[in-house]
Order: sequence, then C-alpha cells, then structure tokens
Amino acid sequence: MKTRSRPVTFFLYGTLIVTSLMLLLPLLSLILTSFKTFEEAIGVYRWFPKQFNFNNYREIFELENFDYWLYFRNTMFIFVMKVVGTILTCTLTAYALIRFNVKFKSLWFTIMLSVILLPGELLAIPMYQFYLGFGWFDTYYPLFTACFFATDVFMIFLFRQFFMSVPKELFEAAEVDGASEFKIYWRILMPLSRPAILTCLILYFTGTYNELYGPMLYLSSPSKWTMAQGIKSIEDVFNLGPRDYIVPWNLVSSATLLSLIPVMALFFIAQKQFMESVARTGIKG
Amino acid sequence: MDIFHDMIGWENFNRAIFLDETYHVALRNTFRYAIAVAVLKLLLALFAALLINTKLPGIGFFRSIFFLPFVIPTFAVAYVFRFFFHPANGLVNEVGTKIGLTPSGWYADSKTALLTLVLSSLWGFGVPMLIFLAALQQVPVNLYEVAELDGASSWQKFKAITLPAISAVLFFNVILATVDSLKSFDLAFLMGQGSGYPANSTLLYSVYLFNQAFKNPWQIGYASALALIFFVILLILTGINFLLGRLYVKTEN
Repeated sequence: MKTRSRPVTFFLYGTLIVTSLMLLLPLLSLILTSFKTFEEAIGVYRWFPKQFNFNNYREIFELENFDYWLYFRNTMFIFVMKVVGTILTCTLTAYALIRFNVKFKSLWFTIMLSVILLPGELLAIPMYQFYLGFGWFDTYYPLFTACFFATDVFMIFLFRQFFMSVPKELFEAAEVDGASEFKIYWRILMPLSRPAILTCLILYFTGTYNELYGPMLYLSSPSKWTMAQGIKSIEDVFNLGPRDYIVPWNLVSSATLLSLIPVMALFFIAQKQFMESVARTGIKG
Repeated sequence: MDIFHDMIGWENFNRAIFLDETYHVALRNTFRYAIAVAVLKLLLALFAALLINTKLPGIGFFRSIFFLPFVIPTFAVAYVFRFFFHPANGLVNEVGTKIGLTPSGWYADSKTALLTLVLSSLWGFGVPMLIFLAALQQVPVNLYEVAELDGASSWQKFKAITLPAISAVLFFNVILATVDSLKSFDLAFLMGQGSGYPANSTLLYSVYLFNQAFKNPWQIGYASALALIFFVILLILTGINFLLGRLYVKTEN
C-alpha cells in the first residue's frame, strides 16, 4: 500500500469529518427529540429538550398495542423470504443473460427493463386484485411470493452489470476444466459477486424494514404487523380525528431509534465484509 | 363482462396534453426536480464512494456513518428536514444569517419550495453510493500499483483506471437515478402535504397521479392515462440513456 502525503491525508480526513457531521445531523435531531416531552415535541422546534427524560423509551414498551419483538420477528420473516427468493432467481436470470445466446435476447432484456419504468402506484391495483383472488388477504404471501419469480428487475440488472465485469478468461478456463454451467455459476460467479450480493442484502433489509405500503395493504390483524406498521400505529394512538392530526414525534422518534438497532448491527457486519472483500481483491490482483 | 363499456376514446389523453394546466405545472416541476436531483445525487454518491473506498486508518467508522442515510425511514427524514428548513427557527436560516445570508422561506415560499425538496432529496444518495462502492471494490489493486510506478497522478488514475472499470455500474446508476428521480414520490408527498404545497410548487408527476387515482373524485381512468404518458416519457429517456451509454461503457466481454 502506498503512503499518502500529509496534506492529502489531512484533506481526506477533513472531508470525511465534515460530511459525517452533516449526515449525523438528522439522526442527532431524532435522538434529541426522543428525549422530549409530548408538548415539546409537537411545539416550536428547539434542538435540545428542557430536560432529558427516558420516559418515551419506557412508554414504548408499555404501550398496549405495540410489541417490538413481535414486529421484529414478523419483519425478519418477510425479509428472509424476500431476499432468498430474489438472490436465487435474480442471479440465475442475470447469469442466463450474460452466458446464453437466446433468440431476441436484447429484446427480452429491453422488455424486462421497461418494467422498472412503470410507476409502482399503477401496479398496485391489479396486483391487489390478483392476490385477493388467491385468498391471500391477511397473509404474508403477497409480500414475498413475487420475489421467487425474479421479478426484481433492478436486481437482475445490478447482478448482470456485476457479472459483466468478471474477466471472460475465468469462464473459459472453467469450461476447459469441464465445469458444468451450474458449477460455473455457483462456484465461480457467486463467490466473486459477494459485494453485489451484500448490496442486495442491505437494500432488501432496509427496504423491508421501511416499507409501509405493501404491509398496510395486505396485513390487517395486528399480530401480523411489521415494524413500520407498528411505528405507524403509534401515530394513531394520538389521532384525534382527521382534522386534528397530531403526531407524537417524541414517541415516534424513540420507537424509530429502537427499530434502527438491528439495521445498525447489520451495517456494522456488512462494512466488515466489505473490508474483507477489499483484502480479497488485493490477493487476487 | 364488457371491458369496452364506458370507453371515451382519447378524451383522457386530450385532457392531459392540451387542457389540464395543473398537469403541465407538475410535468415542468418534475423535469426541473429530476435533472437537479439525478445529477447532484450521482456526483455526491460517486464522491462519497471514492472517499470511503480509501484505505485510511479508521475508515470503517466513517463507512458506517455514510451508510446512515439508508436506515432512517422517509417519514422521519421528512420530519427532520421540515425543521431544518423552518423559515422562522430552522437550522439552515440560523446558520445562514450568521454568515450574512438573507433568511429564506424555504418550503413555505413557492419560489424556493422545489429547491428545498431537491436539497432534502440529496439525503438519499445512499443507494447509488453503495452500488458505486461495491463496484470500486472489484477494481484490481495491481492496476493502481502499476500506474503509480509510472508516476500517474490521482486524476490520471481515476480517468484511466477507475472510470473505465466501473463504467458498467456507472451506466446502471445513471439509468436508475434518472428513472428514480422522475418517479420520486415519498418525500414530495410528505413535504408538500400531499398536494404540492405551496401553490403546486412541489407538485411532482407521481404525486399528481396518485391524487387523481386515489383521492376524491377517484379518476382512475384519467390517472391510467397519465401513467401511460409517464411510462412513454421514461421509456424515451431510458432509450436516450442507452444510446449515451454506448459512448462510455467499457466491458470485459
């Protein structure tokens, strides 16, 4: 590894620190709000609470209709089903796209890509009617079934772009050694695509965690709710009717922060994995 | 069932293209918003990815912080930014007055509301950054080492090695940023109070579409026409992107 000159290192750290501070501000605001009283949180905005109190955090666990662990388990179940389906089917599709010469391949690819361009709100209506016809209302199936059919074109496209940057010689060498297509996919391409797979994992984790639209549409019984729905329901505790809609930001902030803990943990692990793949690239190169 | 029941021909398209002035406002807003957000977000994402791809001691800590924009849910982001840009006692005006700028109305002023939305949206550079970072990780280190032996400058290395190596992923990010910024909904919906407040200045295409379809008087037909026009616009822009991509994408295969 080369050594950087002092001014360059200084400049890099300076930029890192300034950017980090800007990125931390919203989180800081969220943390400070979580220590405020209800009156402070909905009133004129001040940075700091008059007095730091942990009541909000206690209240979250005492709220009658809010079960942190239940929502966490439910969300994790949906996440695992979604991510397993997507990674398996989308990498296979991407593999087919770069390895096989099918007739009209670029046409198929263009049709696939055009799906990204459809506004999500538009797709929601027919999908809803479709799943309702299956009798899947108030089940988890509508939330992950589609993932097992390589429907996430974004991910197919992402994996394709990553697979394309793998040197062709690797495939040729494997073919010479008589490796089957599945072996090339599973033993060569998949391990090399670890950063891409990790990216998919992170995107799905936060995506599932924050998604409100789908769960609100399909899950009605509170025992099936996801984390986002749970946090949303806190707002409704204080809902005084459509005209006086007051959001208890103090409780919402503390609930949001609590819900962020698993996501943060994943990031910590993921960023270590990223570092490992740096090391691996070093050996490979 | 007769699906052609109550067909009104091209009436909805006619209304959108020639008559509906609010729609034209939404279209104009969307283009201005999307161009600014797509360009700025990509530059920011690439810059951030390069920054956290350096191998300085303690970089892991900064990486974790740079991932933050991902985790905070949009509703919380909207809430926080509403206070940052608060015309009376927001952080931005507070700091701005200290360095001699005139306080602005930000999201409460129809002249600056769209700009406020653009600035708030930049917070979401995490996805393209992560994709850039993953691509940067795959650039073989020995290429840089060879270039350093030849005495190449940082900019030369970036231009000759990094950019070609990540060009396929850059192309992916360009397409995605274009489509995503045009389709933006969440933040605009939340910050514009669901209706493009103030005076339609933050009314984006998807918000207008949503309001036509799911709010009184529920004009699903008109909304579908709008969605189809939108689809065609996105298709054309993506086509242009594919043509442009041929100029800069270099692949191994």
